[in-house]
Amino acid sequence: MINLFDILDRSYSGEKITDEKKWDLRIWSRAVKLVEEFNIKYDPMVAIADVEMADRCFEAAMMLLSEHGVFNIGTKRVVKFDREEIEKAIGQGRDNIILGENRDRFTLSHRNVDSFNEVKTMAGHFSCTDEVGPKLYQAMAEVQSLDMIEGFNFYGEHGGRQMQGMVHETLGTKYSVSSIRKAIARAGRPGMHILYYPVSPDPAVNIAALDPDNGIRKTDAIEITPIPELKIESNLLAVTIATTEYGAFVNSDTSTIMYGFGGGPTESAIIGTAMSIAVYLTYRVDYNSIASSLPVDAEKFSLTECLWPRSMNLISMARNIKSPLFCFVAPGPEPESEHTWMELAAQTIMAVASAAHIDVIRPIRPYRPNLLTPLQIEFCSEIANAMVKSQMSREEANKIIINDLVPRYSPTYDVPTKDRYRLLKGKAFEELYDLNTLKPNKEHIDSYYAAKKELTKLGIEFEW
Amino acid sequence: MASKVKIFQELNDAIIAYDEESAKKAAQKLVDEKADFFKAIKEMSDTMFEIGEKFHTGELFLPHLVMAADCMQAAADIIEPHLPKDKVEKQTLGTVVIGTVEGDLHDVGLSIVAMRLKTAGFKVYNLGKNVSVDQFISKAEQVNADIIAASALLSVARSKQRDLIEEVKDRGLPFKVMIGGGPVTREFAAQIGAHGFGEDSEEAVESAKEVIKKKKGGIK
Repeated sequence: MINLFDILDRSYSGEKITDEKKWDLRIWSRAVKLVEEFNIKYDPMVAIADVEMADRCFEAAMMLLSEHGVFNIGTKRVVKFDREEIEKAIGQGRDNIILGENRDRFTLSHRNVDSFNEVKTMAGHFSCTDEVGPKLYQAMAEVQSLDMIEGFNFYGEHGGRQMQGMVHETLGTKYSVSSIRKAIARAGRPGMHILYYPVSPDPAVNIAALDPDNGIRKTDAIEITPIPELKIESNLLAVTIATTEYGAFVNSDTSTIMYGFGGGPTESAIIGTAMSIAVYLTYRVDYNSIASSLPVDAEKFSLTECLWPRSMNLISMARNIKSPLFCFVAPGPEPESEHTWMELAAQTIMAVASAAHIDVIRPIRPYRPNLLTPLQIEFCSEIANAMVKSQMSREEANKIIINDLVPRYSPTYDVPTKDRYRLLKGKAFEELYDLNTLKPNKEHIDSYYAAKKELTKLGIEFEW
Repeated sequence: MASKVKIFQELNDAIIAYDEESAKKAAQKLVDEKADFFKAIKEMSDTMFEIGEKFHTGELFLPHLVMAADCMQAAADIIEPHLPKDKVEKQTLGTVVIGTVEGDLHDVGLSIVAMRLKTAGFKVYNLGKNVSVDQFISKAEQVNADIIAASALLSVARSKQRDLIEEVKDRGLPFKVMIGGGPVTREFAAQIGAHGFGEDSEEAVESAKEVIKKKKGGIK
């Protein structure tokens, strides 16, 4: 099997492309042709991808990856793989991994399409302030249906200092991870699995998180994210080496930029799948998060044109690689905005019906910190469990999304971006929770129950 | 005359078909025929504007913008040596140096804004990602820019936008600074004293036009 040194060697010896734009155009133009060759078609009435088309999408992605490889943005060289190397790497993906410690330990499993395996819930991926962040993490960990936390950098300030540059970011990482660890301990879940995303391309900042006492333990994970489209960084290869030698897990969240060089929904499905495959070779992932297809106008993430390629990406991976997959659940609006619950529901239903676990995160384009609530996490987790328990078919899931959910919120996105925020603005965690008791206020509880009532009418059979 | 009209059409068709070789051939024919070069530039700009609008409405994607802009640039490179320099400058709305700030490797939004500025008629120097304050300023001085446009996707990288504005102000440089990017809000732009801001590429273009209007007392 290809090892990281082979990738480094190829990063210094592969084809040189000085102008990165040429790489982007190369990948996009090949994807356009592959869409034709493999008969990949987008139907605006379909949010959950067809399994046979998903298999063709996987084959197209394998072809894209084996023909073109990935691009190292540091050395500006192409790193190519042959098909056998790719097959060996993905063949070594593990379908079950044990995460967390002691009584918080659990098995994260690969979910099969149509098999109604248990759905695990991850949440996080938000920036937060020093004051609110630790409380929000504690309140999240108190949600019993939350299995693992995705930790993120704090808002950019700590100890009254603006974080900038490697030294501050390194200190910030250590501070953020230790704050999260203390917060989950206060919630009575000290062994809970943390996936940490330092949000910096600097290896020192990433590696600073690895600390068995106060930071990322061997039972936790570091998130190493490839750059769209099909690009890698030598710095993050260094983080992969440090993380795997330390013994912690690696996760990647892969995303294509739709309407950018990721093309439209069909090209984006193929490129996104190729990126999801590539991280098994480059960053040695143990589990994978899928955030494609992120549109240029990011707030449109819940529209069908973005749900379908994400579903295609997930189903094509789930049917062809035995490895746990998460799907981002990221609404356009802030908590307590008019359509937030319905967007969370649409994305959760798509994810679960597409063989993924769920990763409930802040609004896809956050304008301020602290934009996630524990009740939102519970809501998504309850939908996921209800779907599994009732063995909801992909057809039923599609019907709910297309007929009942998307039409409610899609008109919001006809409003130009510069005028849209007033429609998406809601409330931050501290406006919806008592920061002493960490309990939600009446407004938030009422709207949560109202949203559940709405979904019950649409056929979601909640347990309670 | 009819043949010149036909060549103008060939040039526009080549841009619409993203066919760089045909665009070059059409441009060379225009030079050989001693056609109205300003009309050629104007026609190409109009075509680019239409392509930009189609991107805005979702009919076309970023790769289309990039390829069309490459075609136009290839044709312009052949035509421009035959134009008086001062008149060429008058054809542009202004000069923009653009990049993503240091410590941030995201450049898709940047590419889109750069392309939209180009299609709107600005001369654009795209420095790419991870650009230091010194690099921004040095390039702006070199090309006598009107605007420096700085993008940031990471919230921690926004501090570099502030640094850029402070540096330009402290040194009394003549450049106007525009900012944008995922975590960048109108309020933040106002707070750090940016001259322009774009929530998206459309607003960035409008904002750049406004900045130029204020700077020069009217678009050239």
